[in-house]
Amino acid sequence: MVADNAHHQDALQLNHSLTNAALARQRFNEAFMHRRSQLRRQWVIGALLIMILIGISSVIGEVNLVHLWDRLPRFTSYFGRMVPELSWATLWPDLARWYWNGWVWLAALWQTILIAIYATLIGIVFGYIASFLGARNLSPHPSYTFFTRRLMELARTVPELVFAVLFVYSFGLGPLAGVLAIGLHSMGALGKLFADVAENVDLEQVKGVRSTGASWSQTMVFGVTPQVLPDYLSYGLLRLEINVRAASILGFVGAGGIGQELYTAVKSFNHTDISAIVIMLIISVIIIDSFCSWVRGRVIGRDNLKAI
Amino acid sequence: MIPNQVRSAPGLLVTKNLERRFGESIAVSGVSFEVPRGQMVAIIGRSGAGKSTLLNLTNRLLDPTSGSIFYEGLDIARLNGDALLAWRRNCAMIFQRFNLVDRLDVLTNVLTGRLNHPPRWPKLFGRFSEEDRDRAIDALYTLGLDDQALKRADQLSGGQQQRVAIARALVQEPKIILADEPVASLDPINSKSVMDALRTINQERDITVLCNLHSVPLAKEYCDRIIGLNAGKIVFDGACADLGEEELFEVYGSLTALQDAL
Repeated sequence: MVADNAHHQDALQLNHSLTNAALARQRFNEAFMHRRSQLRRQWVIGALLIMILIGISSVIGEVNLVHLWDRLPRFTSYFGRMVPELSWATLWPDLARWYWNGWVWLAALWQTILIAIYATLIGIVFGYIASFLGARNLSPHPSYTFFTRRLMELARTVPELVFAVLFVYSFGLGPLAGVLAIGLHSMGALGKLFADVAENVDLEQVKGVRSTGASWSQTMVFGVTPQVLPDYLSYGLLRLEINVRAASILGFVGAGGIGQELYTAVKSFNHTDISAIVIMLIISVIIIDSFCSWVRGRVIGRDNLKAI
Repeated sequence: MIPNQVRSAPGLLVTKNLERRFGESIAVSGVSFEVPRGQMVAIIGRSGAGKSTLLNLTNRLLDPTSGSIFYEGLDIARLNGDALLAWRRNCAMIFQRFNLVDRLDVLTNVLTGRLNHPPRWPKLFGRFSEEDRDRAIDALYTLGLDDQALKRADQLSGGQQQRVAIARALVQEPKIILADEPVASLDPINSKSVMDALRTINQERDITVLCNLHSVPLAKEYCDRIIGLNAGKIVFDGACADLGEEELFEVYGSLTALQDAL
């Protein structure tokens, strides 16, 4: 023991002597310079590669700046046609003429929002269940993780519009197809986000619940859910915002909501109708977005402030 | 496995040649002991000696690589499904870092100790029976925490949190309590109250207690028997009085480690 200690102290003294410190610094400097030149080379190669890729993709994608410049006036004149005739003297009659179909549009808008809410609920419920199976640290078996993750990928890579077309074909025209289409897509997106959150839980707390003889599902509810709830809620509300926007165009394929009206307006060249509907949409999206971020701020803010 | 091979008595816990490896390293190796019902046993040893692994194996939060654990003649190491969950209920754990769910209130944390008691399904939706709730409050009262029941667990001090963890263990109605360094994160006063609580439970309710301890004086003060582990093997197993300087040196392997534990 004693001999061992003495030897240990010798080693300490050597390490602290001046010559060794200078040597260590020199060795570090060499390694540092080498690493830096390596990084620089990687950066140059990376930048060149990205520039080449941009060039290739602009050729393949037929991105033509001259063409864009030539046709810009057409785009602006289309906007011009969408502006209704309004004058101060006859403002109310003008507005009434602009929003001649306002009540119908409002009902359609309401339907759009309901589609978004129901779809988000579907996404949250199924995403919640899938998240525990898809989280690598919680799943009962690695194969569950694999299949759940692949299923979620499938559900969120297929665009909502494609799902909507399929569901309109099988369930008929109307909001049900929209709810299912957006719900499925939301499940895929939320399931993945939720699973990523669940992979960061404190496993000590989970172990505490598991040690009592709780079943797997009980452990998820009592050990994991309290930890992930604020994040799940936050992502769920974010999804609601996204879904309102998604639901607004589903009508294009007959899956209900304001999109149907917008589609009719575009097809029948009622240019002022288009602007009327789009303005209603923008206002409702703004209202819902600010409502969601207010709730989110309250939910997360309260907790994070306490942690600091 | 033939259960008759093992001595079976009410409340008797037996391990035979228990071994657990993590990859190349061996955490617990050739561990055999018998603990009769109602004994309070301290398990001592340096960090990394395999104390935690041994308790986690006993509760089956970890599976042994080989060897057996018998409780009343039943082979614990081969249980699975509901029988395994029921065993965990019978064999409550207390952890160094308390392992309460921070964002749940104290009462719900204690109620998690009732999750394995039937009916189990309603509990998945947070529906506990009146009886479960009464038990939880009783347990909290026993530990002097009934007035904290509705606070969030992370608002309590360390000593209070550990006593909530003991309440959770109590409502499991366990046969055995496994305490993994229960006082290592606590100051001396809280350490005393937690160790007192464990000893009282042990004596009044005839519950076997296996307790990993870092401090030899605490082990001698509170326990009937001491098991010393070194590098995963039992190097001492006997009454507190028999643990002399020589035995201690064998458990801790070096003077510095020993001084740390005294």
